[in-house]
Amino acid sequence: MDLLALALVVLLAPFGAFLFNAFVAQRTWALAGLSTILGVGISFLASLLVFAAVQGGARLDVSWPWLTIAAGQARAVEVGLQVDPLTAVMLLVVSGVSLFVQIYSWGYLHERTFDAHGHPHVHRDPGFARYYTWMALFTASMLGLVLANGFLALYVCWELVGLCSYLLIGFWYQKPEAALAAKKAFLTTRLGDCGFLIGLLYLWAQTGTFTFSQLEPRVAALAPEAATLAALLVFCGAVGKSAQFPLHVWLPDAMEGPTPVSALIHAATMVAAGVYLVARTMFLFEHASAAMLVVALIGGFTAFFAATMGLVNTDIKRVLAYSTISQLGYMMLGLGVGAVGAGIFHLFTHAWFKALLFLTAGNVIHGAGTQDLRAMGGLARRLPWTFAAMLAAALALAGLPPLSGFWSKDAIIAAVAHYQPPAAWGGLAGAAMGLLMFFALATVLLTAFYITRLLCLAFGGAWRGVPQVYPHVEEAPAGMLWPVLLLAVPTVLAGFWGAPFVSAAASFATFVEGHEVHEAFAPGLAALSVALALAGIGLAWALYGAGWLQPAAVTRLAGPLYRWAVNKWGFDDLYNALVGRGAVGLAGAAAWFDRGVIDGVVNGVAQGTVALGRAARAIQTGQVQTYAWVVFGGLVIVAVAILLPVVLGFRV
Amino acid sequence: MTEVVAAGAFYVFALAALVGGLGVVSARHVVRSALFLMLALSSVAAIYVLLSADFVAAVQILIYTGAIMLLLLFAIMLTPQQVELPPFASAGQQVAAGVVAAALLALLVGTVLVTPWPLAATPLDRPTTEAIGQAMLTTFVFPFELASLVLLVGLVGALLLARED
Amino acid sequence: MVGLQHYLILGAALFCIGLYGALARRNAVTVLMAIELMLNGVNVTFAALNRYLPLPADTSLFAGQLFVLFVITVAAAEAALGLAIIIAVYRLRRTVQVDQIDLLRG
Repeated sequence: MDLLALALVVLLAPFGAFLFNAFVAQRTWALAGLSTILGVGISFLASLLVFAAVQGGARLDVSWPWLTIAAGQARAVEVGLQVDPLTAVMLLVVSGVSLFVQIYSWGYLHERTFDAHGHPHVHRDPGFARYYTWMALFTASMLGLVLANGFLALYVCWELVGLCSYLLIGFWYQKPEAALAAKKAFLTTRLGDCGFLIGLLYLWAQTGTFTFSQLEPRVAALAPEAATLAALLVFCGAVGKSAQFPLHVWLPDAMEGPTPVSALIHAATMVAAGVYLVARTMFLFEHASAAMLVVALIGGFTAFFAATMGLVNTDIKRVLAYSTISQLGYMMLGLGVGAVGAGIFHLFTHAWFKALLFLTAGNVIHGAGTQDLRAMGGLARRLPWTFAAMLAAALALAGLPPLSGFWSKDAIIAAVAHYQPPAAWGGLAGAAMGLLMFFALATVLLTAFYITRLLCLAFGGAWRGVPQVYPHVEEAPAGMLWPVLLLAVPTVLAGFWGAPFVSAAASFATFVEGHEVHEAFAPGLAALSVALALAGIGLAWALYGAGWLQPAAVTRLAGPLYRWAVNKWGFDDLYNALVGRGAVGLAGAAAWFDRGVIDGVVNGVAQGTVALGRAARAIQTGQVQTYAWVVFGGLVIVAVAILLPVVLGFRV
Repeated sequence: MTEVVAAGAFYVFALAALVGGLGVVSARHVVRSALFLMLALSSVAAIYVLLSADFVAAVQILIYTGAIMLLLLFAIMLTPQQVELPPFASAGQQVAAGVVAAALLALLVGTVLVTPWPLAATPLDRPTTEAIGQAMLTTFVFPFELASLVLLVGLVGALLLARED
Repeated sequence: MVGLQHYLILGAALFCIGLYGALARRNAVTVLMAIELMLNGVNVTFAALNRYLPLPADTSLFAGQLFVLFVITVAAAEAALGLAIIIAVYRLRRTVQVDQIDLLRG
């Protein structure tokens, strides 16, 4: 089939579902849900066909002129679609995960609450139709982002997904925490988007085009400083969207949204948009080695420090949120050392197992009625299927072979190890590489630890919650269970596409990068990472599973480090003080200026007039003698004024 | 000899006039002010005599010390005041009035002393009554009639203002 | 010995004393008396000037004194009216203190 037609179907099916939901189906909840599921389903089928076509060598890059700035000049602003291997992979990820999540959401939005005796009651969320409307819009926007062939269309879709993220995080807007979290997410990503927009416009000014294929040759002609500046500005957008340091603060709070939203948007797709952006604009970053260093360092550092915060959190979703930030850091690290294939491969595998982790967490929350890890325990017996699926996803995240996560994570570590830093990094090269390796390997250990901790606390040991609830905790309904089980398949298998025993010609990296990539597999490093993962698992088991060590004792030992991690490394406080109080302070100053200076001037004029009037009134005593005195006094003064020079003249 | 007498008379009556004037403005009781005023007015009549204005001196005594003083005394009688009320304005007002008056006095005296008056060769010392009568009915007939009209209006006005209603 | 200037100074003194009295006394009748004093001062000035300065030929020789007569006439009318007003005000307000009659006070 014609690739353009397929691409349009992929894009327009969910968008059509959105329009239908928005204008027609608001009253009938079932219709809204079905239309979204149908739209995304069609999109997924079309994505499969697109993938097949691209595998067979088909490519697409069409543009339509949108705005002509000066007639007769060549500078027209264009928008268009493009399909290449990277896009094909992303289409699969987005539409696939979205489809699973839409199906799952149906069951999720029927909420289970427990009464005093522990009996469950099912209650459908009143915003059902609204949820599916935004989900359809989101899916359409994300697909548009991936299909865009130029910065303009990409930016429009970028903002649209940001909007949908805001709407969906704040889905339960009556809850103040949710509304605040949505606002925080939007503002933080907005900050990154500002830099992105400036970068876009800067590139336009320097090269005269937005379209990627036209930019590629023109960027090569740019001076390195200009390219670096543009790359860093574009990276700002990626930092915001992918929750990298320092704009990471919104993602943990975004867990206020429904769990399927977290699974789709904040694990698999929207946050991956930043990684996609860097991969798509790699032609720019290649010419800016300083920017590459920044990307790698930020990615590596984020991976490490987010993992430290995941170690100590007690909310099941927030642990996963920190995990997402950390894994995105890995992807950025891979891209920063130029291994686009490895980075995108990790994005691919991560999407599946992270979505699975979130959906199983959703099952746990749905079954146990709580998100707090301290109030769970012993759920393995009550939720066996969920436990099995979550275990598979957890081991994939930890990076144990033969699960998908192992292959992709290892590809990145190997890429970092084999990276030859460009001469431009100068003396920093050694230190930087050492630091990056440390980040990569330490994070393996930490990742394994925190995910095992999560499993132990949720599924192992004894139930620590309200006693009456435990007998009523039951496995998720079919609508929520089947997507979970189906997601376990790519979690296990997806890694094989990029595994080193697959030939270089057929590997994932080759497919994505468009040229033969030889992944030099380092068995030593792989063994090291597996060992670290096992060490992490073992340590967590010792603390939380078997109880050989007391967590409280370790906490006391770690003392300030522990508190520092729990306090999210102080970033929220810092940003509150800087931005929050800064803005309030600025507003206070402006208010003072308005009240004091401007109102003061206005009131002052009024009061001055009144005072002047009051002073003038003093003359009007109503007494004749006063007036007479004034008359004669005036006479004397005038006479003196006239006579004085004359008198003096006489004397002189 | 007559010059000395004239000068002496002048100083005597000038002093009397000034004393009378000061008395008017500084007496506590209204009636005393009125009596001092009579003194001042009479002295002024004498000054007119010294200035050879005989008719004017007679009119002064008739009208001023006669009719107008009577009028003032009747008004004082018809407006009895509580005796405790302060006769003078506030101290500030007194000072202000004093300053203005003193300044004006200085100004006038200064002007008088400095001006080179074009004096006549001999002062005008003639009987005036007949000449005034004639002038009133020829050159000054218009102001004369107007003055009588003013008096009429004043009469009617005073009646109107002062009647009980 | 006693010349024009003496009389003029006397007139000025009477005028200024009367001025002080008009501005500094509280009783309205006293104020009127002070005003009469001022008028007298002016009259003295007129009479003195009439005597010592040469007059133009076409008007009367005694124009100054005629002026004095007219001033006295008008003073009489004014005194009558002024006192009538004072009596009317007294009937209304039971007072002739000038500083208590301040309806125009702003």
